[in-house]
Amino acid sequence: MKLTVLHYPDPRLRLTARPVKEVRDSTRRLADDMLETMYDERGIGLAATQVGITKRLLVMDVSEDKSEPRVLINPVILNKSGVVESNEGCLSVPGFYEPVRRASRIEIEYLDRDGTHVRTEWEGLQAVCAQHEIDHLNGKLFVDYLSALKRSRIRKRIDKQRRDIA
Amino acid sequence: MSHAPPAAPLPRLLAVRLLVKILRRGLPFDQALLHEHASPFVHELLYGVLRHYFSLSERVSRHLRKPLRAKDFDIFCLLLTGVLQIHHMRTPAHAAVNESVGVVRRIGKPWAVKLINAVLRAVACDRREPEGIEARFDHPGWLIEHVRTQYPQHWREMLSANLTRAPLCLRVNTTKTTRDAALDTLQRDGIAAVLGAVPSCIVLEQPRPSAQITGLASGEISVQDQGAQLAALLLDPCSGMRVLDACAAPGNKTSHLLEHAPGISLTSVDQSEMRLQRIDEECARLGLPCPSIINAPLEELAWWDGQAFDAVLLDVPCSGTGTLRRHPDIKVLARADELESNHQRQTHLLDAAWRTLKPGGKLLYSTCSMLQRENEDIVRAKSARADAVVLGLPQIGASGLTHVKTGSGAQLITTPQGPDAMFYALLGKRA
Repeated sequence: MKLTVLHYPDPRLRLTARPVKEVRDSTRRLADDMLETMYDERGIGLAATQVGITKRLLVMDVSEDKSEPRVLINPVILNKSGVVESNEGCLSVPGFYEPVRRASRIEIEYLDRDGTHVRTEWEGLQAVCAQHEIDHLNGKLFVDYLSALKRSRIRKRIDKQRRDIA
Repeated sequence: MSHAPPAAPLPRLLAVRLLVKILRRGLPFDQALLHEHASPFVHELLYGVLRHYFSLSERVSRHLRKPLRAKDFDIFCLLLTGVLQIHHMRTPAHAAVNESVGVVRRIGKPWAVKLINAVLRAVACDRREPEGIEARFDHPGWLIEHVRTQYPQHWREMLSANLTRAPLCLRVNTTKTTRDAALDTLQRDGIAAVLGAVPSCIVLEQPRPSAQITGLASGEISVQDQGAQLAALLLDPCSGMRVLDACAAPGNKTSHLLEHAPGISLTSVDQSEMRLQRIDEECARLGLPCPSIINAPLEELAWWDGQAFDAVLLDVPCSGTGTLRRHPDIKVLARADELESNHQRQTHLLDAAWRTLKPGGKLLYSTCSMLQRENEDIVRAKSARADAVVLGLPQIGASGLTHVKTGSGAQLITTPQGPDAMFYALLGKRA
């Protein structure tokens, strides 16, 4: 089932998500719905916060052919190194792409879809995407990294688009 | 998170990438462009650089203190596009420099910024003409040598005509409409055009995208060079004849034969299956009966049922040196030593085609080459035989197109707005 993605500046995007206590069938169903939603919106990552659910769960797939779906439950970044700047966009801020600096390499641990504990190292787009999604779980958006000027410009454009629709 | 949409590549950057593919990896122009959405500006850059490759290279090399490394060939190509803009496209020098520097940054070779700046500024101030024969005539040396010895009277105008932009020529499908009616339709649509020298031909005064030309989709018109339109006229088959189109793909001349004489029984043979497929589509578009199509190597004659043909069109694969206006990549990619293997292949093809010809029948040998080795040399060897006789080509004289009689045939000469440099020879088989 496809879910509705919240759009900036929805206040629910600012909530901090709570850890998942137990990986149950309902958890897996949520993850599958989120993957479906993410593919449908042509995203490469989606956090539960973005669909209005305050659980520490996110899905991602940075492959070009939808061949590497991943479910991350209660993810924690253990280590960061290096710097990389890439153009980021967000399904909650559609249509805007801005350069953001992040660690180029991370060590991460999480539970996968089956509740198995995973500890691994990622780099490149995969590392960037994981950092972006974990930020969501903490109520943070990529626009928070931009200058106040750029952020307010995006805000104004979004407000204007809303007025035009209304 | 979502991906940034891929930024549209800068036109100059795309041009550089394609030039590297063509010049370094030897990919033909048409193939390099196949899957790219190249804007008209990119086309202009590519055609321009390939057309003026020799003079542009010389202008660049003059101001390079040492040659660029092989892996920096993209920087060299970028310099060529820069010099083209300065010397041939009336782009202000500062703009050409600025845009080129932008491309260097996108390529990811910031060290080359200073180099690009220095070389392009130096070239912009350098008003000396290119030196060396290749750079002066913008052709490879071996080709200049051939043309100069073969056409002592015409060689300069031929070489300079090759640097011009070819006109867009249309062929009128006379089974559907008349040339005057087609011209009226074009003019009503605001497309300036004149009647060509060949009776089926209309020449547009300005080339334009084919989508804008009425009559293409409905099959009243095809795009074909004026010189190539002579083929059907010269062979001039009549209704009821068994006709062979021996190297048929992609079928421009095939469909013309059928327009010229819809009642013929036509067999089209070619080695390339992929290119043969277009014949079907073309005949459907033009409302013509589809010929019997055979995918086989002509030379081996295994495809032939032994029934002789009344007329044969043999438009052999060749160097393409008669079409340098439309295919300037040939100037850079063609090599002198290919001429001999072409010559052998063409001789074999003519031998095979000759065997399928009925005594009393006629064979039209044609190429889009301006080199004697692929033209007169092939035909002369054949016409010296007892069973062959050289037939005249009065239609070429009547058309008024510039040409040279070669003994066995006629070589068209490219002039600005004129035809591609086709070669034709018509041979009859003695009964």
